[in-house]
Amino acid sequence: MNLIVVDDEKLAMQHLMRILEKMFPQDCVKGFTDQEEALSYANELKENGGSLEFAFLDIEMYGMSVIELARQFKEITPAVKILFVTGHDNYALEAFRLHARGYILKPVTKELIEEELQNIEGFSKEERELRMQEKKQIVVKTFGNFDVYVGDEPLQFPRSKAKELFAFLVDKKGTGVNTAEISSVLWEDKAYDRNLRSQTQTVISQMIRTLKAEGLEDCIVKKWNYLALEPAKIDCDYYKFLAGDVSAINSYTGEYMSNYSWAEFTTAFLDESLYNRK
Amino acid sequence: MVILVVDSDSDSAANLKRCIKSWGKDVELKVFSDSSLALEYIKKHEVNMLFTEVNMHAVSGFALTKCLKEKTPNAYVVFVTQSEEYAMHAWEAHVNGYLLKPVDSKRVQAKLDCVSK
Repeated sequence: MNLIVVDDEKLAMQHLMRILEKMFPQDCVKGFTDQEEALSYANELKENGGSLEFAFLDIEMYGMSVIELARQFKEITPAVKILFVTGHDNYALEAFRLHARGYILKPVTKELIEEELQNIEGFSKEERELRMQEKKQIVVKTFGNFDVYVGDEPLQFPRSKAKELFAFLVDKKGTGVNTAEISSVLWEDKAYDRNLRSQTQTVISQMIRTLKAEGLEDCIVKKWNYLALEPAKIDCDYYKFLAGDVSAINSYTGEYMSNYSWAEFTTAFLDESLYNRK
Repeated sequence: MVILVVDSDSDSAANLKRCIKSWGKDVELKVFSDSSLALEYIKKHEVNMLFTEVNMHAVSGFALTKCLKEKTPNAYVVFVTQSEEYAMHAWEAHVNGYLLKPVDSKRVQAKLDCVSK
């Protein structure tokens, strides 16, 4: 989604851009002091299949009248939402005629913008936050090899043990585990000494850091000597199977986290469940 | 869709009623010349669209807007009035449209089209 700010006063333009960047961290906010450049950009976006969702325009600009500027934006992108940002109230009526979606008196604050957006369908604070969460949906595939996706991209763990740890937590379905347990799974035959404990803690940190980099750290509960997954925060084929989801059940073909030997207990359980269903 | 028209001037109200009827779509239309009765109606019933004068005896267009928007935030409000002096305050009150009297049928129908989308 694209947003644009046009104000011939550079400081005002940057100020508003900063506010919008904070409110729309995943979207593209561009600022212009030159009206022609701004219009070129809108055209470019249209040609490349992008959508200009919002245009914040200052009314005191020289050159083309800002009402005319608004008209031209609408010609390029009829659905664009125009909000006027100005120090004067004398364009209020004209702004209604243009079907603008907001009219904000300077100085602009985040609260004023927030208030305007609250009244625009699809852009209230709650709706924006929901959209951000949806984008960051973590999808866990356990049938076959274990793999994790964020949106459509596979999530890369820096170390295979960090990925294996995450798989182990998924397998535990929200039950907490302590460091010793983790260690015995990741390093099956090794004695749990101080060295191993330290290595285990490193792996735990790496896993958490990988998730954090994607804004997904809240799918893990970490306390002292306790680590667990929050099952509700992930989209997982195994959990769907357990919940009776038919397509998840059909997608199970006898392989569960096939890259990890400790997963065989769950595999046996899944086989039995499937057998009992028939 | 439930549309309310509120104006103590019966000619204006009648004019607006005509514009809405000629739009052709099936709507439930209620006309009030007494804004306090309109307020009571809004409190007790669902209203999707409000065309209202601003300056009225007892309850103003702003007061009606506030009450309606609190109850139904997506309700569409259009001020229909003589002067443009309320335009800035209308923006602040999150009014959705502002038409100057005498109203133009085309402008009214453009507003109706906005809502029916």
